[in-house]
Amino acid sequence: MAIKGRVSLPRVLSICLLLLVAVMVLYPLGMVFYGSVWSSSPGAPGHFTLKGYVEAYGQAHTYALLGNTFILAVIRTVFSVAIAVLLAWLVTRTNVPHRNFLELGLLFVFFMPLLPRVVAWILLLSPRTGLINVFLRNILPFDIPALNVFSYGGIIWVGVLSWVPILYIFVAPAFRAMDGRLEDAARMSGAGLFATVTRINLPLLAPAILATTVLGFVRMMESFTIEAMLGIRAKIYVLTTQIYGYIVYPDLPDYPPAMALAVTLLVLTFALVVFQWRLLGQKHYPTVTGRGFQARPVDLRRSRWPAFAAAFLFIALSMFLPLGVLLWASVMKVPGVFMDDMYTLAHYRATLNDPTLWTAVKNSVLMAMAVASIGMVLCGLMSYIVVKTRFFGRRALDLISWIPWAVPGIVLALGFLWAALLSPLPFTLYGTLTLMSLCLIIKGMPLGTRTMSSTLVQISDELEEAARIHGASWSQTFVRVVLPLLAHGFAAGWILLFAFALKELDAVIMLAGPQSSVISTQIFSWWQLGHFQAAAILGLLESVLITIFFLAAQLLSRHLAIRAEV
Amino acid sequence: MRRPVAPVAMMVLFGLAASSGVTFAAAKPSPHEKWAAEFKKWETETYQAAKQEGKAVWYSVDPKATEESLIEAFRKKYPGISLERQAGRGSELGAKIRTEQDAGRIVADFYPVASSVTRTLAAEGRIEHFIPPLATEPGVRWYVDPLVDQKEFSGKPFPFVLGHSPIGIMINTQLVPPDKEPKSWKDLLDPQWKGKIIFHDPRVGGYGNRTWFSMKAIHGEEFWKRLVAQDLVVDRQYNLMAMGVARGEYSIGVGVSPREVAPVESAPVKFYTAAEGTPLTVATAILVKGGPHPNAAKLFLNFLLSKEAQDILGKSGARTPNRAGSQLRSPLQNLEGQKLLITSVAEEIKGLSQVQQDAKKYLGK
Repeated sequence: MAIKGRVSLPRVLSICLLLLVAVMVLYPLGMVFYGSVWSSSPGAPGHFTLKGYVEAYGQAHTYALLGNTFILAVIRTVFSVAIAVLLAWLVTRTNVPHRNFLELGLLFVFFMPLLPRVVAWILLLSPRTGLINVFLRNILPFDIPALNVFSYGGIIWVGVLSWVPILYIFVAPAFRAMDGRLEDAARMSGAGLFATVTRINLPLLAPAILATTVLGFVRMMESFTIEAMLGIRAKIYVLTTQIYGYIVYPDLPDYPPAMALAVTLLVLTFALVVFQWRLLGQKHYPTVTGRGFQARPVDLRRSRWPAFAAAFLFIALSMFLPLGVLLWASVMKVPGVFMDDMYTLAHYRATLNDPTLWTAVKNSVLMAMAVASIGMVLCGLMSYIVVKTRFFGRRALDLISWIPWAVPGIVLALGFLWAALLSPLPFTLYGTLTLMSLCLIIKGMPLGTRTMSSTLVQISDELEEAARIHGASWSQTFVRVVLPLLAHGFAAGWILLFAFALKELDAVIMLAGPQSSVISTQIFSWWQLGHFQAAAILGLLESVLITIFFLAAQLLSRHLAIRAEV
Repeated sequence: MRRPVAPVAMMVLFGLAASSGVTFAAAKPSPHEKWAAEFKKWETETYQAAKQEGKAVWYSVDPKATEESLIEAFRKKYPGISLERQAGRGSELGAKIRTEQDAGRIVADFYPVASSVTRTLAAEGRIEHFIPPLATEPGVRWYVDPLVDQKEFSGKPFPFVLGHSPIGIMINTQLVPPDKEPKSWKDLLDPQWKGKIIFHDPRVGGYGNRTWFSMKAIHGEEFWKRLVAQDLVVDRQYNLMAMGVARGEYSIGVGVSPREVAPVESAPVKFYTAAEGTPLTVATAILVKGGPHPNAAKLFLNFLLSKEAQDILGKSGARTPNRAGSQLRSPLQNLEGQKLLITSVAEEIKGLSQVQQDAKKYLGK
């Protein structure tokens, strides 16, 4: 639909939305740039200086960090994208058994909180006492070098298992919406499975895969939790751990070099996002036709069950195994220590009776619901303008919606921290759930807009045009035609944002206050204070919560879809 | 009828005394009675003001069981005042306080934490002057004078001492037989421990840094080089270190305190201090400058020095209480008779930071 005219409602709405989103995204990021050239902490007396850049780049160590960050990002991206693409192809284009189960499993892996998962891998892959190493030593008749989670290999392994589901979520819609007639034509022309995949599927989906690769690479560059927990012992440091180190470890926080490194990360990742954006131009995955053509699934024949087993193995390794280890460790007196009388439920009693836990749960659910609801309305409107209108600012809106992807959580949080502390507002947002929710809405924007865009491209413009021809106004068309058709995508995006808000730690860790403790920050602080079991129990509870909301969202979206059909 | 002799005699004596100019002044209150009267007055006034504030915000690094017990006891003693907690690592919360103050958006009211953090904050002028009345109670015996910093800060606001974290060695008793136990830091250089020691990273603030400082003071900088040659593994998370030793991943952990050992003490572990002495991290508390609830904070900070609160600290295993004779839970040890390695304020503010820098020469940046 075109947005024409000087003062039409959609035009005004679009301009307002563009301005709102621009302020929400660019203001905190402006603070990051400001922080990199200001000599002291936010609000403290200081002067403009480049000493942060000089300090950060005047030492060889920084270049080693850049090298580490780059190498780790490249390796993890290659593996993660390869697995995500393979899984997406299996689930969306083949007759692999139990496709819905596999898809659900991948979504659950995405939902699982990261920190307890890393702890589970420490219990599994510590070189001397890790359960897998002990098991291998017991069953193998010969000695093998121990698998060590505190290594490049460990960081890559845990990173790949964690990031594949997110990349799957990005790439699967493109596979699903691909015009299947080309595959059918190839098969009818006598092409085998390999030839069809390599000569039809992959070239057709190359832009989508390339875009996912760029986005994955950006994600790997900004990764923090895994490196912070596994890297120190192996003397592996990356940009994000160094940024954190400048602020947290010295007796006096050293903001200028931290912000200078944050700007570096920002510029690097932003450049990559612009690159992928230019690569795709205005077209959102050009292979997506929106024709709703359902291709005959590729017959894997005898490979059906091995393919299922491989996909299931991935889900088992990334979800069932760590979840099981967490559950096991949560009932142990000392996690991972085998001894007489080693089990206890005391930690459950203490943790579940702790009011701190329930405050964190209540805050988290409220915050995640607000983030998902407000975020999806915002993302829905943005996607609609970008995909369905010819509004002059739609390219800018599209670009802005992707910027948060390029900003590491910890950098965005720093930007928000400075923005809140220096804000001219008469009330303070610092330490409130509102500020944390704002930060998460921004950070989750690419997830929300991606989900809505992939739904919107499948809705034919003809439906809207028909409504307009029959006299419906723009707003009537939007509310009565477009919205019901978006229900499924909205529900899917809502649960994605809900889960994202519930489990995200990096973006809120610097912002939480005493009254705004949420599940992710509570897990982190309990972990830091040595309450491993309490952290594990809260991690498990978080998974249960997400499952409940996921099922509720599924039911709701089905109900809405049925109503829309009626 | 018999006449009462005693009253008459007393009256005679009183009359004689009065006529000779002798006066009977009221009995002089003892120092403790005087202190108690002043304390009562302070407590009543502060409590009233604290009730108006309604709450205080506690930036806390203590285990949650300790926090909860302290809050419960405080609520019973002073109903009507709630305590909100922001948990985190010492240096993180210190950074938060600085940022809040610089931006004029202060949330924290008080902060009990290691002296390396509070003394730096005090030196920067970020704390409010407050001497808890209980710190001056006559007749109480403390391991370290709670107001020990008063002199060094010469008239400026200073932190007060409430407890201690003795830093020592943690071993896995299944991997380290009693006759092989490293009794001193020098014993750690034995080749049999190569690759089996995990050390808290001395390049950042904390117990490893404090131990590294005392190691250099006693054995010289060369000792660091020899220690690193033992394929030292360093970590920045105490709980991961303690879990690693408990599970047998490492035989020995250095730069830990009883509070990290307590959660894993049912495993085959043992904590003790080195023969060279016990580096002591002094737990101090401060009233944050500009905090929004100063009276409620003062009331709680003072309460932390009471016998009741000090017993809670000791019983929970969080820290060795500063009040001598307080109850202790294993693996906390009585500090009396131990060779304590205490740093001065100057050493803590400058020396420990220097050690962080120096350690990078040996462990990399």
